[in-house]
Amino acid sequence: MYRLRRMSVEYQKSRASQGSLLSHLSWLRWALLTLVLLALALLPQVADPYTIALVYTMFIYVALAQSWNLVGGYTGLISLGHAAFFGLGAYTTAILMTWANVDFYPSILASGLVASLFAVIISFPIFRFRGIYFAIGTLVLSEALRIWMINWSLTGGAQGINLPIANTPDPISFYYVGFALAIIATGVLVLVLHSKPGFGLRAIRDNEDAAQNMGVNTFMVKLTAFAISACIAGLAGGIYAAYLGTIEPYSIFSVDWTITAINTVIIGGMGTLIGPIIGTIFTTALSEGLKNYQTIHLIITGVILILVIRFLPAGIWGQLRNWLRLPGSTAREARKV
Amino acid sequence: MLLELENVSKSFGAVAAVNQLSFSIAEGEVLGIMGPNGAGKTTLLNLIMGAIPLDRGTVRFAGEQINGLRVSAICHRGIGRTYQIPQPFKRMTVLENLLVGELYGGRRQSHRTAHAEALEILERVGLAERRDTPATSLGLLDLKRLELARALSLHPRLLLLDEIAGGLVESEIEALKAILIDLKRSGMTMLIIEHLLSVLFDLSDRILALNFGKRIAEGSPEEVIHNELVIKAYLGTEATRGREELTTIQPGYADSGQQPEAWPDPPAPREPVPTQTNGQAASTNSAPATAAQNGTPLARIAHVSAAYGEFQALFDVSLDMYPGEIVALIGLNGAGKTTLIRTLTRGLPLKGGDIFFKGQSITRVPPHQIAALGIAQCIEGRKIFPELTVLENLELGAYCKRARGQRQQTLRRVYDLFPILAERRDQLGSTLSGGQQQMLAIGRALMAQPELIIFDEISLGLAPIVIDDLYRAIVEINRQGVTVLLVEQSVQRSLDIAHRAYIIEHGRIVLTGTAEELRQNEQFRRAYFGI
Amino acid sequence: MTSSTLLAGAISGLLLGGLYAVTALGLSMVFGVMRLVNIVHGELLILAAYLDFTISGALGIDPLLTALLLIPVMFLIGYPIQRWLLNPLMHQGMEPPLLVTFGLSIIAQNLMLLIWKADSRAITTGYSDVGLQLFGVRVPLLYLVAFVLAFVLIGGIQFLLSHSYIGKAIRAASQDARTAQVMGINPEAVYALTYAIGAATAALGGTLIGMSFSFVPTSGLTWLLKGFVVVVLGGMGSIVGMLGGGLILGVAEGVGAAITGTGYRDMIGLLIFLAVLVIRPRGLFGRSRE
Repeated sequence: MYRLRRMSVEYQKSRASQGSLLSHLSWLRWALLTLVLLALALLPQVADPYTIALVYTMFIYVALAQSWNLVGGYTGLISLGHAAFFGLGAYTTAILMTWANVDFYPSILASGLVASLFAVIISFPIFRFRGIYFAIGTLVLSEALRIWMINWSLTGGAQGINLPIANTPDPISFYYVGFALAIIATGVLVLVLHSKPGFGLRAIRDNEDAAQNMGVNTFMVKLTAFAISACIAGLAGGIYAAYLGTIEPYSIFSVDWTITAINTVIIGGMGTLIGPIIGTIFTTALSEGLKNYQTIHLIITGVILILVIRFLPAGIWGQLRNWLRLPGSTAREARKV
Repeated sequence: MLLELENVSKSFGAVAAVNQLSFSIAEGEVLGIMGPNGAGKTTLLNLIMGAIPLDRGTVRFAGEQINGLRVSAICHRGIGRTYQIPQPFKRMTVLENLLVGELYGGRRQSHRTAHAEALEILERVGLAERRDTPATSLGLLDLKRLELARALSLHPRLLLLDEIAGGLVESEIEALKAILIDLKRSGMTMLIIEHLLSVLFDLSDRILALNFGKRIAEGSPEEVIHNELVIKAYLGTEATRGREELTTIQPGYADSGQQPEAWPDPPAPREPVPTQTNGQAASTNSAPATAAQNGTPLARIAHVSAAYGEFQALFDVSLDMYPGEIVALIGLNGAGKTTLIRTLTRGLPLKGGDIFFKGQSITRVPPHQIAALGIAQCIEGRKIFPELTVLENLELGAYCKRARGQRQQTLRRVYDLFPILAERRDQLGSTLSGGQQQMLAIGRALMAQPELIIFDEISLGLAPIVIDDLYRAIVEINRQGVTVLLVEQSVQRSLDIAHRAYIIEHGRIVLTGTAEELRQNEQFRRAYFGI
Repeated sequence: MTSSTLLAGAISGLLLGGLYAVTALGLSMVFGVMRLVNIVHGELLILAAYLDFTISGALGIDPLLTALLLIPVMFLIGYPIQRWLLNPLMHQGMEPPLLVTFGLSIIAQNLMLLIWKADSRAITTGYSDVGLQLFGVRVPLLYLVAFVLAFVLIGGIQFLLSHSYIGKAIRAASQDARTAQVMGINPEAVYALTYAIGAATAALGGTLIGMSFSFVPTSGLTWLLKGFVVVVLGGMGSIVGMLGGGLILGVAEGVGAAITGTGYRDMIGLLIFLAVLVIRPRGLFGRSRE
C-alpha cells in the first residue's frame, strides 16, 4: 500500500508540474469527492423510495460500465458480450440463494467468482480471435449462453428462478450494497491503473506489438483485465438478481445490458475514470425525462451514441477534460486503433 | 559471442527475404548493417526479436537458442529494439512509456525504483524535461529519443536500432549520434541498421553489407565502402550501354514478325545544356535556367515542402518535367523520393509550394482523379491486384474515362511491349514472378493513356536481366511520346536512360543536370551517399 | 429420433440453407470489401420484412413481387448510411464503424417497435403452407423457392463482380484501396455502392424471412448471428463460398435440432462459429488476407 501511495504521490507531483487549471487545486478535487460521497451516503435518509431505487439502479449501471470500461476503454478489447458475465452472476446468486440456502453476501461473492472463472476459461480460445472477430466472438458467446440457459431445465429453463425474499436485504441496504459496488468498481480501476498491470493494459491499447517488444506478456495482461472486468459484472448481476427477486434468461442475458454498458461508457468517455459515471448520469436523466416514451428514449440514445463516435470520440467527460486541460487529458485524442 | 546467427533463412512466398545468413556480435561491439532497400534488414531484426518465425537456422543469444520464443520472453533475456517509425504508446506520457519497460522488462523492482531508473534514462537521452508530455505531442527527434529510451528501459544487453536517424535533419542527427556514442562508450552492444552511412560509419566497429538477404561484404567501414559488390548493389549493376543502343532494340517485334502500330512521332531530342547547381549547402534549387528555351514544362514541382505530422520530409523541392523527357529522381532510401511522389499523386498535404500539371495546380485534386488528368503511376512495390487476372488488372488501368473507350487498342499495344502478359492474361496476378508483376504494373499504367508516367523504384528486388528488359520498355514508352519520371535508387541505370536527373538527399535537391554532366561529376558520389 | 427424422432435418435444413445464404449475402459483401462488420444488417433484413408486410398487405400484391419493389428502396436506404455516416470513419480502424452500426441497430430496432409495435408478424400468402414431398420428406414450398433464389441471386452477384467493370473495380478496391485510387477508382464511392447493394439484397432476404418465419422488431439479432456463421463458414468475402456456408449451417441445424430438440437450434450455429474460428481464425474457405 505504501508503495502505491508513494507512486501516486509522485504521480500527483509530476502531474502538478504540468501546470493545468485544477491540478494546483488538487485538494479541491478531494474535497469535491468527499462531498459527493457524503451526499450519496446520506441520500436514503432524506429521499423517497423511488429516488432511492433510481440511484441504486445507477450504481449498478456504473459498476457495469466501469467493468466494460476496463476492457473496452483501457485495454482496447471491445466486448459485445458483457451480458454473459452479468447473467452468470445473476444466476449464480439465484441458484445459491434459492436452492442451496446460501446467504446473500456469500452468494454475490460467488457470483463474481463464477463470472471471473468463465472469463478465464473463454479467454484461451477467444483471445486468439484477431481484431474484430474478438468483438463478434463475444457477442456470439453471449447469445449462445442465453439460448442455452433458456433451454436448460436444470436452471429453471425459460421460467427462470424465483429467489426467496427472506434472505434478501431491504431496499435501503441494497442501496448501500450498490453504492459499495460502484465505489469498488471505480476503485479497482484506479488501483489497476496505478499499478503494474495498468501500464501493461494501456500499453496494449496503444500499441500491442510495441508492448510485446517491451516485455509485456500481452496474453496474461489481457486475461487479468478480462477476469477482473467479469468479476465486477458478475457481482452486479448477483446483486441485481436478489433485488429483482426473480430472473429469467431472456432478459438477464439480454444484449440490452451490453448495450447499456457500451452506451454509458462511450457517451461518457471511454478510457477515463469519471466518464462512465457521467455517462450513467446522462443516460439515466434521459431515461427519466422520457419515461413515458421508452422507445423514443432508446432511439435518441442511439443517435447520441453515433454523434459521439462521429464528432466527439472522447466522450462528454473526455472532451470536457481536454477543453479544460485537466490532468490526464491529451492534447489530441488519437482514435487510431 | 553475445549474438550468433547461423544459416538463418526466411522467405515470404517465393521471395527470400533473408538467405542463409550467418554472423555474430561480440559483447561490447557495435555492428552496422547496410544494404539497399529490400535487402532484408528489417526482416532480420524481426527475426531476431521473434516477431516473425524463421524458416531455417538458429539464433543464439548469450549461448541460449532464442528462435521460437515469444517476443516478450526474448525481451526479458535482454534484447531491446527501436522501430524505424517510432511506435510510442501514444496516450501515455514520456515517463509512463518508460515505466512500461521498467516494470515489464524482466526485472522485479518496485515502482519507486522503476521511477528512479526511468528518470535516469530520460536524463541520458535528453528527455528529462518532457517527462510528463504525452507522447502524441512530441516532435520527431524527441520521438526518436523516446524510442531509444524505451529500449533502454529494458536494461538490455543488446540494442537493435532500426534506422534511428531516418527523417532527421543534420543537427538532430548529431544530437542523436552523441547519445549513441555515449552508449557505445559505456559498453552497450548494438546492432545498427542505417541508411545514413555517415552515422553508420561513425558508430560501427564492423559493418555487414546485405543484398537480397545475403551477406555481400563484411569488414571495417573503410573496407566495406570500397568493396566492389557493395558499390554495385547501391549504384546499380550491369547496364553500361548507352541510351542509343537500348533504343534500337525493339521489344517483341523481332519475334512476332509484326509491324508495330503507327505511333505519333517522338518529340525532337533536346540539346543538353550545362546546368549545374552546387548542392552541398543549397536550400533552393531553381529549374534549369533554360526553361524558356525549351517551352513550358509538362509538370512542375515548385518549392514544395511537406511533412508527415512532425516529420519534415521535403524542404523546398523543385523539379521540372518537360514533354518527352525521361527525368530521373535519384536518392538513397529515406531521402524523400516516395514522399515527393505522394505529394504529386496521393494528396499528401503540402506545407509550402505548389505542383502544376499542364499549367494547372493539382495539389487539391483528390487522389482518385489524378489518373483522369493524364498522370499514371507504377507505385513502389508494384501493387498489382493479386486476385485479379492479368487482363483484369490491365482493364482496370483504363478505368478512367479518357482511356476506357480505347482500351482494346491500348491493350494490344501493351501486349506488343510485353508479350508475356498476353500469354498469361488469364492468370491471377499473384502467380506472376516479380519481374512479370512489374511488367504488369507498367502495362497497367500505360492503359490509362497517360502523358506522364511515374515509375517508383521499379527495380527493387529484381534480377539485372529483368531490369534490363524493364528499362528497354521504358525507353520505348518514352520514345512513343510519354514523359517519364523515373524514381530510383540505382544510379547507373537511371543515368543510362534519363535525359536529366535530380539528386535528392535528406528531403532536398542537392544536385541536378543532364545525365552526361552528372556521370562526370566529382561531387556526385558524395552527394548521393551523403558523406 | 429415427433416421427418417434425421433425414427430414437434413433435407429441410439443406433447403433452409439457401435462405440463410441469401440473408447473409449483404453482410458478406460489406465485410469482404470493406472489412466492416455491419451490425445493423439484421435490422435491415427485418425492416425489409416489415415493409414488405405492410406494402404487400396494403396493395394486395404478392410479397415476392413487392420484394422486387423494395430492392431500390433498400438500396436508397443503404447508400447514404455508408456514404455519409460510415465513410468518414473508415480510416479510424475497425472499431468506430462497428460501434456506429451498433448504434444504428439500436435506433432501427426501436423505430420499428414504434411504428409496428411489438406484436409478432408474419407474411402469409396463398402458398405459404404448401408443402412438397421431396425424398419422402415434407418440405415447405417456400424453402424450395428460397433455395432456388439463393443460387440465382448469388450467381447474379458473382457474375456482376467478375464480369462487369464496376464489379472489377469493387474487387480491386477491396484488395487494395490505395492502388485502386491510382487507377482512378474512388474507394468511397465503391464502399457506398457495395453497402447499398448489400442493403438491396436484404430486401429479398428479409421478405423470405418474413414469409417463412414470424418476426418482431428484435428479431434482427438472431439473423445477424446466423449471418456471421454463414460468412465464417463460407469464408470472409467469398460470395460463392457463402452458399456452401449456408447449406452447411442449414444441415447442421436441421440434424442437430432433430437430435437435441428445437430449442437449441439457434445455438448450434453459434457453437459452430466459435469452433471454426478457434481452429481456423480466418474461416473455412476464405482466402487469408492481412
